[in-house]
Amino acid sequence: MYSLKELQTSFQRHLLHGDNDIIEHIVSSQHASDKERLATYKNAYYGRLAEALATDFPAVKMSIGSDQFSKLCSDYIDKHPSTDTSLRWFGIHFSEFIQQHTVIEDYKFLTELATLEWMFINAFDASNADPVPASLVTTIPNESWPNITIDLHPSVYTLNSHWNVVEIWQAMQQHQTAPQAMYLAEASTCVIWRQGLSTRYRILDKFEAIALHSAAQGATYAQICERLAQSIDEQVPDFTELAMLCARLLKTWLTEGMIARLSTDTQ
Amino acid sequence: MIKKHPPYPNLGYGLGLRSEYYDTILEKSPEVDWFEVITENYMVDGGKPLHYLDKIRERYPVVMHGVSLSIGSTDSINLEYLKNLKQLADRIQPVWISDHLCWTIHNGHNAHDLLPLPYNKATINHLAERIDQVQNYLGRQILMENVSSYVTYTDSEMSEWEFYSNIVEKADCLMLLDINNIYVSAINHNFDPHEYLDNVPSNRVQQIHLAGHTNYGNFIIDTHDQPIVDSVWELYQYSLQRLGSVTTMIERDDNFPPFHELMAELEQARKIGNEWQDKKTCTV
Repeated sequence: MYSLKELQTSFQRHLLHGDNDIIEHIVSSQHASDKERLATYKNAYYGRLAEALATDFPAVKMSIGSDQFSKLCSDYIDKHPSTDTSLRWFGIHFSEFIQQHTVIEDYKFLTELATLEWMFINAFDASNADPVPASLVTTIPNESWPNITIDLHPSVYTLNSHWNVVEIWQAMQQHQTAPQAMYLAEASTCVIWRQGLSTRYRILDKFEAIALHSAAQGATYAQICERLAQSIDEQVPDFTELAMLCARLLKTWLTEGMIARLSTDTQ
Repeated sequence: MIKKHPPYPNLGYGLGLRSEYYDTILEKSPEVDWFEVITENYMVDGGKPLHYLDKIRERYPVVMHGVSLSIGSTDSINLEYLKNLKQLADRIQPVWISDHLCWTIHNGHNAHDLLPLPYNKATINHLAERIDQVQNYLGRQILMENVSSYVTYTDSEMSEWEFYSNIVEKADCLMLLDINNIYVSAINHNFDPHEYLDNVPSNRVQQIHLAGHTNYGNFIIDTHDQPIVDSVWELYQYSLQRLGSVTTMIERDDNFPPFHELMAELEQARKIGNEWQDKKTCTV
């Protein structure tokens, strides 16, 4: 008799690698063959995991078609068996896996598209945090502003993309014909976050992208202004305009619920 | 020390809470006595799932039903999972917590399937010990559900119902009896489902699941994506005669119908339950 551990090892080897030594521990039946019965489990294993990926990465699936997606899933399942108690996390390595997979040769934008889809999932169930109301800024003394740091809402994610993946994703979401994949002359930044219960996204212009990245890295308000100044192709930037730009961006983020805390800690 | 059974009330007739029905439930407050939630779907940090769960919990009793406890595994009990389970239970105060009599995880890899166990004494001892560990951690009795199976191991020494009954007695836990799973396994393994119901300890049965399945000709798969078939309804009727009135739930996990169709199945279960109650009253 096998120990329970040996039996489970053998069964799992069948599920993961198709090894058949488990068969000698299965009672034959007149209704269905041992292999047929075991296939129920093996098919369910691949089917369930592939379905989880199809649910999480519908645009990737649409971009490459069902057959190629099925092959991609099968390769991923073999390489990254699930180690989490929830299927929610099964796709965590999918975009980096795509980057190493041969599918990338024909679909060079696919890693970025998978990353975008995974960010939407992360934003969907990220931690809750009460957004800072826009009115709070009026209570901050002027002298405190240079040292203010911005804690973004836990659901805020940014994607720097070199391909038009946001347009592709958007068209597929709206059941429209997706544009052809294009390499962008200048990388684009998309911010994804949850406002209330709705997951939102928008493309940022160059200045907002710099400011948001800086804020996410813990830069103070003054440092954000400095980085914006460095990015302006003028020898002497107009600091009044810069300050107004910074204030405008902050107001937008507050109004859109992207900020969880404004801190005056100087450490 | 865990409290002795039966520690939990009869909740009546409930449905599985699925995201497809969140808005309908909140808009219409349907006459559902309680809801069962898939534990792992709410082990998340925030956002919609927990928002809706909290809202629905304000109006209805809720029980938690897990799929990843992997009580039959030979890996150590996943303490991180238990911690998260307890955290969720502290948040939503479920009337009870259940999971399945199976294994899902081995060597750290999760098959995300309810895999069968060999029915023998060594497995009974192994599971009873682990259920005891879980109950002590949670500070409450848990329910274990019978799963559908498609294979029988040569290492099995007894019937499924003997195995199941022995475990719940030895571990002092409760039963979540899935009538559809009994039917599916009875067809797949050629046994009489009535014999199963005749031999489970009725005082341990806290909840019943009713669900649909898919018939593939030479065997049946427990897909939970179809309406409940007449044979399962008949078996439910038989189970009430044998077990008395038991908290009952309709479990639908895929191919979701309009909400009113699930309500119709729920009403059918309620009707069968009430008829049984009336008959019982007449014969007293």
